[in-house]
Amino acid sequence: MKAMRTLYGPIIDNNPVTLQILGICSALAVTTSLATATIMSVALTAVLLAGSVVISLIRRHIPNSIRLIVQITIIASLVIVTDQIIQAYVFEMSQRLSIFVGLIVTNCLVLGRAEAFAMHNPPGSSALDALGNGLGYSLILLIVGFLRELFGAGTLYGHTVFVTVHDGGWFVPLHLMLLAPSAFFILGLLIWIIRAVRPAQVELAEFEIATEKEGAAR
Amino acid sequence: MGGVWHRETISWLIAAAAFPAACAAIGTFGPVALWHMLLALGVAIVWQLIFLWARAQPVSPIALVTAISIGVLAPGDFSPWQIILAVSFGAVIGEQIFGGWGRNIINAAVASLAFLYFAFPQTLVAGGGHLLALSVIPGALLLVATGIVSWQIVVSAILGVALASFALGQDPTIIAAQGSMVFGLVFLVCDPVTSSATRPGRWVYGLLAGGLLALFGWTDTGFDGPQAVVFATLVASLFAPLVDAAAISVASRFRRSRNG
Repeated sequence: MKAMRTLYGPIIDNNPVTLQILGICSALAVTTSLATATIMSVALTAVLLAGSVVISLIRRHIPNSIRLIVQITIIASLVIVTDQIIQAYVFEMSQRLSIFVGLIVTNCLVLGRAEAFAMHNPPGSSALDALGNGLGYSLILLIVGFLRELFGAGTLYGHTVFVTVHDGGWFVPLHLMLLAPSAFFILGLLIWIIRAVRPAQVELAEFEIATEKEGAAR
Repeated sequence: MGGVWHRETISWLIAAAAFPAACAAIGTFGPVALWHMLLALGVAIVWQLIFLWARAQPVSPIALVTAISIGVLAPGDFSPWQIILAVSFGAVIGEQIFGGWGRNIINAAVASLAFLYFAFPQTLVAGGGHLLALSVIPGALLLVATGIVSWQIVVSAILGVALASFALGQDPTIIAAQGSMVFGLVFLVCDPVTSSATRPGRWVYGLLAGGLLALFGWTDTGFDGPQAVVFATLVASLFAPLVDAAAISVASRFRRSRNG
């Protein structure tokens, strides 16, 4: 039961992107099309899973003072391997993703799970936690990528869904969807929806604006 | 709530001040401006009612000003759904989400217009000429006289436009003849809610907005369309809270060093 919570928890209830606001950089950069978002999701989930298991296996042998260096070294090696695999099998995707696969190293999500979970838990539950977080990240990336490609270009995975005006159809593409701010808007709206459904995720206000009555009383 | 000067009085006055410009825009651009105003007004009112129902946020006649701004600054060949989408975005993300007019960081019309220009860059929007520029003057005088618009922002924004234009080796009087620039300067840049509120902050804010307007206009968008003033306001109003915070912290430090 607890194992299942480790796996499902990060998908909505403790989602790394919408609750912890981690991994935003890549969520903006690679979501202009669904295909790049998918490859990125798979790559990140693979790195996260392998990294967490490896770190969890040697967690008792890592000296505390250099643990971050060890973690980063392991993650960076895995990222290089992932990048090489992507270049070997889907070279065209690798060109479109450019630097962002390499930047998985700096993704707070990967190091965050290694530091917060894998360092203190056995490999089995670390793997479940990594998989859950990877799936939570992937879910958000795929939703954002779906909306941006559909409304920005009228396609999904490159297949035409809405025929654009340019090709003689009716659909006027929203150019804004292909720009980075639209990913922020979609993420913001997603967070709004999730927190409206689950008010437990709402943070306490740092500053309350006084009402007129309170203002007069002061 | 006592007295005459509450939120709705101010928004009615701004709407009244924008009225001559609205008429001039309808005269200049034709029925398309009126159509956009009515459509934007309808959408803004619907969103206000939704937030009244969902969050008990009071409705405000400021929707009139939002609608007029969109009619004046987006006279192009937009289809109705594009206007509806843009105004929904502006009214919700720009204004209602923060708690309604008076608590917003960016002007709802600015958010809507920026959305329109970015999402549909292929649609051309006209700028408006002398008639529109002149029709803004009485409203501007009314707003400055009632203190709704701070004269410091008006003066510093004009100064900013002039300085940036001279720095780029251009003639600032060309901007003064552009109706959309003058309208945007008075009703978007000088918006009492989204501009700076401290006195030194207002000078900095005005200079920033004016300077950006001239910079965007001369180097990128040109002055045939209204884009320069909308983008300048967007950037400047995002910086307004920072400018105010800096002004307050400088003032309090100065006071502490003087009074111990």
